[in-house]
Amino acid sequence: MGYLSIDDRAAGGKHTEYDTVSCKHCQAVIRVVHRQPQGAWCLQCQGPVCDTPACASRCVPFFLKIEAAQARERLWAAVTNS
Amino acid sequence: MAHYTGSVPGISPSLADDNWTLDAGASESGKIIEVSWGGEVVVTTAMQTRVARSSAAAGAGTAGNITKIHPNSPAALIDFFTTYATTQPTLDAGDLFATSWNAHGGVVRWLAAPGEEFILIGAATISCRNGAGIGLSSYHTVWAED
Repeated sequence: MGYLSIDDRAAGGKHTEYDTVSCKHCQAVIRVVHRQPQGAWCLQCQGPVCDTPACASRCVPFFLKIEAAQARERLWAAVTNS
Repeated sequence: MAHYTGSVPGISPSLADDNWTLDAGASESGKIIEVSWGGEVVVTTAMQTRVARSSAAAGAGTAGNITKIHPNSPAALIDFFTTYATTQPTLDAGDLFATSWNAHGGVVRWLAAPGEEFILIGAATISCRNGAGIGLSSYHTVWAED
């Protein structure tokens, strides 16, 4: 898990720490609140996803987006080199 | 894998301009493994800072402070900018990370778990910008390049 620290002690507040996980679809940081329901879960990715409609309603794993970007880059290189 | 830090110390953020932007060229890739910021105001000042993917920046970028974590690493390929000459990036609606915080000595730090870093690949940018609050504050990130 990732780690998030929000330290407000200098202003008389508190120091809050969270474990974090990343949305399998968009990489957004999700704060883990232990012993509470954790929100959306993608059964295909078998991992947590954030609550935005685009991520919670259909499965497009982030690594598919990377492969698409790489394919675009290869196509662009082929076009510009030809 | 070479690691780099980018720092923007002691600024009064503009809400229309990034605090920092990591700008990867077409054949470059990397991943953000840490973002952090802290406030230097002496009275309570509400801030809201977000990190998000962005696009449409135009013009020459102004380079921020980059340091190689290992002295023998090559120079960073991904650009670390603090502003663009012509058009500032447009941030995506969805945030990679965002939080409210207090610039009265407040410190926010996020560390990615291995495999959960923010990935930058090929002509992509990630921006850090304030959605609210312009108190004196400093912004910092650590990224790795392949």
